[in-house]
Amino acid sequence: MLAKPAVIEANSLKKDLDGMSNPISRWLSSDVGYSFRNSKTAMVAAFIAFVFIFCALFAKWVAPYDPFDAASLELMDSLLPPAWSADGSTKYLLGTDDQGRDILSALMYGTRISLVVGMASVMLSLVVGVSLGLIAGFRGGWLDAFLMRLCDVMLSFPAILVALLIAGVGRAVFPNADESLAFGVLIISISLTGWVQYARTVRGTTLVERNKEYVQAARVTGVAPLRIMLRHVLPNVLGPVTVLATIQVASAIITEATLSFLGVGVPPTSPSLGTLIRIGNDFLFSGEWWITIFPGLTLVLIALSVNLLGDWLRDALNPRLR
Amino acid sequence: MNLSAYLNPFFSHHIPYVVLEFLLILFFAVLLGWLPSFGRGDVVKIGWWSTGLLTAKGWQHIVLPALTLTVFQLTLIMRLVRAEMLEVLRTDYIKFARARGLSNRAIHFGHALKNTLVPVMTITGLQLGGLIAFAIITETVFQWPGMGLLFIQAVTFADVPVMAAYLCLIALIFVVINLTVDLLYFAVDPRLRVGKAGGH
Repeated sequence: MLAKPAVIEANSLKKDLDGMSNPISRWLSSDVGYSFRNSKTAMVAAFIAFVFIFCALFAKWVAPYDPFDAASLELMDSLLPPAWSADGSTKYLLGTDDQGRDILSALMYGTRISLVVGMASVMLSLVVGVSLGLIAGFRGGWLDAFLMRLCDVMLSFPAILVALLIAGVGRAVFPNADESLAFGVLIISISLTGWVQYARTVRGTTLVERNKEYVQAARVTGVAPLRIMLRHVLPNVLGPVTVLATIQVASAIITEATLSFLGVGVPPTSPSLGTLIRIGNDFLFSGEWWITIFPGLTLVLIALSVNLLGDWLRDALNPRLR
Repeated sequence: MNLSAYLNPFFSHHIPYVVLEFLLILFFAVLLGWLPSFGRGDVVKIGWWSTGLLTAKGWQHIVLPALTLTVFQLTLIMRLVRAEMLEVLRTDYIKFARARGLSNRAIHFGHALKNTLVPVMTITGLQLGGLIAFAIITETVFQWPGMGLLFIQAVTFADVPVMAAYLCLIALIFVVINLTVDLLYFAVDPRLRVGKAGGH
């Protein structure tokens, strides 16, 4: 009696797995998948990025310790060097910081916060940038001119400066901001520096697409402008946007780390990679290099792998380079 | 020689600036102990102007911050000059110079390099703006008492007047830099002096 449902379950599980593997195998045999299989750089970068995302997502289960659990911290174990050096302990693979927190666990939790902030700000700037670019390119006229001048102004200031300014204004407006509000201000300040790129790219492509025959045909048959924009033009401008979004994830993470390093980023109760670097800054000169170097290297690896993926995607999606 | 293509992904602006500074500090200041890692060193007072440029200590203190600010400019300009040189070396007047039997050195530096400079100047001018932003990080890491440190303190304490004043000053600097670059075009490229010299 018991065996039967188990068999059915196994069968349905197998079916599920087939269903899961089908899109993957279909993707691998597509053009983009073919170029992925033939690019060692892309595969290595994807692997590294996957490892980091996995560790960040499942930090609770993967990390050996919980760095936020004050009860588990042992002050006796503070400032231990990495396991391979002479004074290191195998208990803490990458050493501990001044409060006895395991660096490896702190890294995993910190990566999670960095990734969340990075992804969220890219999403926000994607939505804002794509819609503004679409409207500017499609409507043209004074709206287009105004939005593009706005973009020029934003672009002439370095991204860090703009993000710092918005973070500062956010602090001035909400002096007693709680944690979630601080996250919100941070995400908005990063995304407000990023939308310009999307807006310009989308506007450029929209200007080309707008005059093509399919748009004219849609217009002649009486499709509403909003519907033409969303259903006809938007899918055709998304290619470059995908590439841009990939690369922007890396730069958003770096911007977040820089802001947190400067002390205007995430609240200190939930340390991101930048906060960890900032904490380690105080110990660098007394020889405890591992506190700051490991978060730094993590940041470098994430940024590098995401950027390499973006470069590969740009080449793979560009038909002229094939 | 494709050096810039190799260096590019590692030193381009994708690499976190903060991390690079810490690696440099770790290497030159902590491990080797050659260079100081924070502060300005000794200063000399000339009237109201206190400068570190006249003391040996002051110069030692400037090396690491300057180096970190250099690296980003370096790779971009390297890539740019490389691309432009590849373009220029294909042109007819370079072939003619070769046919005249000029040495490689004379061709590359005397004829080709000058004609690559216009885009290089444009980008360098724009980069100077980015330099100001990066200087905020550099001044925080190396604890230089500069304008960037002032700004970051203003941001931390939500001091809006200081922030506004800083931004106005930065905007002014941007405008002046861009104007200077525009004027320098005419100094570098004779083709742009249309009205005066009766060029084409």
